[in-house]
Amino acid sequence: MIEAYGALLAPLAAFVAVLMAPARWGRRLLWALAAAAGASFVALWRLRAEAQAAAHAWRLPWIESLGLDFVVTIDPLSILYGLTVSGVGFAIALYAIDYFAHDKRPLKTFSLSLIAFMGAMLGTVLAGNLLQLFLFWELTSVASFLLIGFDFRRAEARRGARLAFVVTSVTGLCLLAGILLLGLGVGSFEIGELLDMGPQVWNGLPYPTATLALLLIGAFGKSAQIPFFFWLPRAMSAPTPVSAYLHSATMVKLGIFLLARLSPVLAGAPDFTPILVTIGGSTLLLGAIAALFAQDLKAILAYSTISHLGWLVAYYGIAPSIGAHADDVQLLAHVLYKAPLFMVAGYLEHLTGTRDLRRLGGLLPKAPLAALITLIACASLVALPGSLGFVAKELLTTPLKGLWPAPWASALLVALLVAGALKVALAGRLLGGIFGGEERDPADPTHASATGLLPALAIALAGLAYGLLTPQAPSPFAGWQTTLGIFVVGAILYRLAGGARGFHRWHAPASLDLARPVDAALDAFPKFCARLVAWAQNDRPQLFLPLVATSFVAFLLWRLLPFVDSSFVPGIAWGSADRIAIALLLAASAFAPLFARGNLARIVVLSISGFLLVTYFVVYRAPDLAMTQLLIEAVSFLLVLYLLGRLGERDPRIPGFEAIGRVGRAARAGLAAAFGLVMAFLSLVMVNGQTPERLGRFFLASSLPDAHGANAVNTILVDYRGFDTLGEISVLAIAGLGIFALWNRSLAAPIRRRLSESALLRGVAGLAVAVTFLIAAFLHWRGHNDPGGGFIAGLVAALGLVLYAAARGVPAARRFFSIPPEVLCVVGLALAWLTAAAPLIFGAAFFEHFMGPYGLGTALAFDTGVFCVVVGLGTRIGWALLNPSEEAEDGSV
Amino acid sequence: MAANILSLFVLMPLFGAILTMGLGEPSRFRRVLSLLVQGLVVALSVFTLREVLLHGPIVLAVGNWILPFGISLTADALGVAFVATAHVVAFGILLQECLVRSHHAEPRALFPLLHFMTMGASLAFLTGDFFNLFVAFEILLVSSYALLGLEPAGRRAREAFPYLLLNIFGSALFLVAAAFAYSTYGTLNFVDLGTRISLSADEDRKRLFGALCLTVFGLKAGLVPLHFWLPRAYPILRPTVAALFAAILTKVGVYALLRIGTNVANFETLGIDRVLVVGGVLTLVFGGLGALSRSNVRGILAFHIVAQVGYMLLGLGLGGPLALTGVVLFALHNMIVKPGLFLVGGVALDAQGSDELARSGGLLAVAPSLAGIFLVLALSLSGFPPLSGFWSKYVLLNGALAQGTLTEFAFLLLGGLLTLLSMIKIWAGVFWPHGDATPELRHRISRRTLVVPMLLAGLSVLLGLGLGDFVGVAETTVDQAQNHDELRVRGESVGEKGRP
Amino acid sequence: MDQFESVLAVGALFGAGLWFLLDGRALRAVIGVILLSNATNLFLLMSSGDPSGRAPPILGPANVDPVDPLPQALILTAIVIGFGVLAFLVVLLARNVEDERHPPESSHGG
Repeated sequence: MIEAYGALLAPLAAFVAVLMAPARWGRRLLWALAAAAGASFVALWRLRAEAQAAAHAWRLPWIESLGLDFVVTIDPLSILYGLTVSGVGFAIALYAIDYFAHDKRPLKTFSLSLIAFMGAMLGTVLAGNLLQLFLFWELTSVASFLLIGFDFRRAEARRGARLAFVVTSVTGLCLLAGILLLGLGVGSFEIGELLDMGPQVWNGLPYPTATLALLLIGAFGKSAQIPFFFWLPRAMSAPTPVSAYLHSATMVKLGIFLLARLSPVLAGAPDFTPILVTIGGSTLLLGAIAALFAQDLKAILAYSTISHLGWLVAYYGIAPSIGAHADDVQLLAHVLYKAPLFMVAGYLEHLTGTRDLRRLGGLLPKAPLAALITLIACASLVALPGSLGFVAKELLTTPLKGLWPAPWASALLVALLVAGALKVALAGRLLGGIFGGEERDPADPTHASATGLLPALAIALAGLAYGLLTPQAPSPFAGWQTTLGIFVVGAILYRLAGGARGFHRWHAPASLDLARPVDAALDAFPKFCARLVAWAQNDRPQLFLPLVATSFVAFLLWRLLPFVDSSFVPGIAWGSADRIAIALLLAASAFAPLFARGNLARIVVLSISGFLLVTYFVVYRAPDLAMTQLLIEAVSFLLVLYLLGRLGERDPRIPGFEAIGRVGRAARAGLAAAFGLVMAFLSLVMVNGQTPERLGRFFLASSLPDAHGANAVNTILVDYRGFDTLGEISVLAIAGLGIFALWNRSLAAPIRRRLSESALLRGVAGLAVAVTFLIAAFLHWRGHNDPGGGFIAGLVAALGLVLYAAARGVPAARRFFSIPPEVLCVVGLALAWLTAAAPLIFGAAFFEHFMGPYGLGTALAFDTGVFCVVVGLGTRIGWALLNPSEEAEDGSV
Repeated sequence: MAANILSLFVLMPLFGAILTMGLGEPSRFRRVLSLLVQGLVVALSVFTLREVLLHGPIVLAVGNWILPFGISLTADALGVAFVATAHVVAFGILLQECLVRSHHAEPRALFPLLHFMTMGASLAFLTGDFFNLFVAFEILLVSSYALLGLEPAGRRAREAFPYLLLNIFGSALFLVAAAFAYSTYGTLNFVDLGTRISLSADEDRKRLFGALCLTVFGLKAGLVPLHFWLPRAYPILRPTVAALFAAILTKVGVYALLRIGTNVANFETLGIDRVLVVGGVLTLVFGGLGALSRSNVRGILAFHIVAQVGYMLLGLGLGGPLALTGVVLFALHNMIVKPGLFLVGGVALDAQGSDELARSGGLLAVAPSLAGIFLVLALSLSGFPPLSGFWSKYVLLNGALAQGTLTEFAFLLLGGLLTLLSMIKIWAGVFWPHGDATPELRHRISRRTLVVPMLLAGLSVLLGLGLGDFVGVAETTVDQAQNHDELRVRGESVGEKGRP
Repeated sequence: MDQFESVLAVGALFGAGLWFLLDGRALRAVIGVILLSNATNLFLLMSSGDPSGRAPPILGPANVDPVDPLPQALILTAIVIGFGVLAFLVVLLARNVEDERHPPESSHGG
């Protein structure tokens, strides 16, 4: 069990170690990868025997609420892949240390990504739970993205990384969808349970076709099958160790792994075999043909990989029908020859400075070791009898021949044979083209040391040995007719093409390169989005409000329709005559500013509207409201008058609002009318459905006995719902902060001088203020039992102070009042805060009010806090508006 | 007495605001004080969360008046989870503000406004009263107006006034909704409202009320077609403020809907479930496409917010415990990751002088740690495992399958893809070079500016790995919020004054 | 059904308010905001029910049938908050007008 977790923990430990290590260690950081790979390999090797005996799963509870456990599965398949990943990883680490020997680029991110990748691969193959598998699957995509984009200064590398990431992520999403549909349909994500159910799984699924399609898309994307293969050749812009590791030996095998892992389940899926054989077979052929057309050595190897992946997909498609169990041979047949070939490619690139086959040649004397490795690898490529490739081929073709003439088997067999011939030609191309012929001048050699090739040699020899020693190996002479046939045809093709040189002239038409349109689409898509967004009017801020209003009107109309019925009209009742008169006047005054000429007239009319509302409040029996509205109306008038002072006769456009044309005006009128109608109708519906059971009755009953106040509105404001009032004065303070952050010397009004020139005003100013203060105090005191209260009193006092400043100037007012208003505002807020918080200290409840003797109580204290805030803020703003010598503030209140 | 602890969530930020307003200079004192106050609130919220998860909701009757006549602060797991996350993130943002500006003073109004915003957020998440929620929203909104005005770029921007006027309109509608609620059902307390609505037989009226609520809160949240202001308002803010807005402003809209959907009446009764589903899909798609259309970092991130809200609204419309758990997970995860992304954008902006993608580039070479943090946050937002975004998406997908058809399921996946594409766009624009040259930085990126984003990214990783039983907590929040009877019973037992 | 004149007034105020708000010019926007808040306050007031024949909510021995005090309290809070917003709006507009007239030195914006 320790070994199982150890295999996963080793990469994690290496990751952390490299994270902490200094970046200047450069390629020495890769030793951590080698160590981790070696440790994982050893750990997994020791589990081989156990795995052969029976599959084991170790679980850790992970996310209990979702019923997910972290499961590590050890069985022959996971051990096989695990050993491959760690073994090849070890070799690649050694290779990379040599590869980057003279490279000055920083390698810390590279090392971290590579270690993370290996860890993620191990996590995927050892996962016993589909979600866990997906987790690591996606991590490999991320690591791959970072690794391909290692040389991010080259545009090619960036585009390659982006393309690979997008394709694998999109297909990864499909995989997630497939996993979810599968797991939720079955009721569990545990692979063990799924495998036990076997083909029966498909009977219980709600969407079997979709599930299968999504799972397969996920597998095909990762393993570069048609139509997703195009990302792989572009990924060759990664450094060669990455290409050798990820894009030939491990990551691209994940799709295959998934097919192998779920093979007992997938076997029962509808149309499983035809789909896999078709896709796999056509990929097999496509890749083999394309390899002959490519000129870049790594691209050739990439297409060859694609081809072999097609083979593997087809193998798993047909394996259940032929009862094949040769996971190890099939996997290793590819890995053990492809990885060395990539490493040779990297070596040759360093040796000659180029990867282009048209400029390589005659390298046998210079690179004998490379030639040997290539020879051994090509033996497996062409399935030379005795090689591991031959074993793999035989294990597939022999049963297929037996199934002849069943349609799928036969088609696949033909494809295999054709591809075999093409591969012979390819081998000729590689060996002849690189090592044969005359030597070319090296284009741009950098240092290349043959020691880097030793890991490649080791892998190639391992392949050779495996091929000779594996118990599944058939006799080399088995099926010699087909073998011979393949070789002959391949040789003929080679000759017909004109030998290795002949292939230099082969070019595939650019239109077949799927990567280019996809790349272009990825570039163009954001531009399309921009146009879409612009069309949706997102760039015209002035339409925001109309759009919201329209949506609101439409939605409300929909919901108001049920209320339109015949009982409405006769049921309309009016109030008393005076109310009707005021209401109609009020309605008319709303429209009056439309007809007023000049800004001053408009705001005067508006004020009239406000005063009408005051009267209306009186009619509605709301004295506190009427007083407040009256004062607010006065203050608002002054405020708007101030604005008028700055605008003059103009009414400039607000930034963001452009002028509207005739159609716009009509639309605006229509919208406003509709809105007004909807709101009127809403209010009608509202008053028709009023409930008599309301909170207000409690307040009326409780105000005198419990809250010790006769003014029920005031007791609600300071006691029952004093918390609202606390918020309300906070809003005032915030507005004050905002206003003073905006403040600027030049914002003061120009009217100061004229007012203070009136001697009469100056004379009575002091007296007037004193009277105002008395009124304010009176209003404040009586508020709890009669109309009045802190807010009203505060406004009165503030008005008084502002008028004083208007008459005698702000500096005089400051001296007169002697408390800076901003301080008063903060003090008021603090007082309110104390009233709310203090009861907690004395063991009472939050904001609980207590009444003391003579009508003094915490409620009055709170109201005083409100009073102070209003006085402070009102005075501060008023004085600032009057006095240009107020310093430009930057946020002080 | 124990319930009174809830008052501290409002009292302490207000205290911080008062102190920072009153004691102007020196700037260092203000910072330390603010960090202290907010830090205490964070500790308090974590403690309260634990209490509430173990022992159920806490109800406080403000002023000791019996409910539903007084205002209640209801701390169930849902509210406290949101409060805790909001304060943790706010603390981080406050810290970032201090670390980024080590040498120059910030505007004096900034810290008081930040405190007020957290006060508004706490109030919004804890209040149990409809009109008090209005007051909370106003505190948040007016703070946001003031913060907008702090920036020269902000106040002159074409978007500032539309934002302001639109929200004034929205506030008016909120009052209309409150009036309607009181008139029709006679109460403002959420739990009581829920009881009375369930006893009422007039379905049409309930749907009318639902329409009002959806407009008001959808506007706050950013539901298409009410969302337009959002992506235009964010790019003009300084990144730390944008981060705070991202963490709080839209989430209160979603939270309010969640609260109404659980305490007051379910969305089907209110007639807004299908609207939410359709609206959610439209928002999700439009936000995703919009993100791809922008050419500056804050613009892209702002559109994401719209898309993410689409996810949440879709989940709300789908309904059912799984989908609602997914919504909670999604909201909380977003509150952590989104601000992190804005802060990273802010560091990049500071270093390169612009966050236009065309004028940035190459940060991977000079600041690989920043790139790493961005990568983690971006992947989390796109829903990559094992990050917090994955689990929230996973639960939502589960919910979609349980309640809906494959269509919503497919759209949720599409949304993830669009997010990923726009993250790649940012990566390519900011971290990868555009050509071969390495760009120049205006000044070095100092390590201290990376601390907070790194912590946020780390939090996302830890939550994704299953620490803290993220998913379990979300499930509990939904359970508690939907337990109407429990809330009512607890509400009836608090408050002494006014008992007959 | 008994407050139909209020229905008309509310509709007029909301309609006119939105009209001005949509206009796009500074003063008219302020007028719109004021009308809109008046409309909202009136709407809130209507929720307290028909006041005919009833008394203000000042309790005392003579007071037999007071109106509902809660909407009035809510309106007061709304008025105050609305006023704060209005003040901010006006100053913001003034600042903008000022900036147009005398553009400050270009500050490096975010």
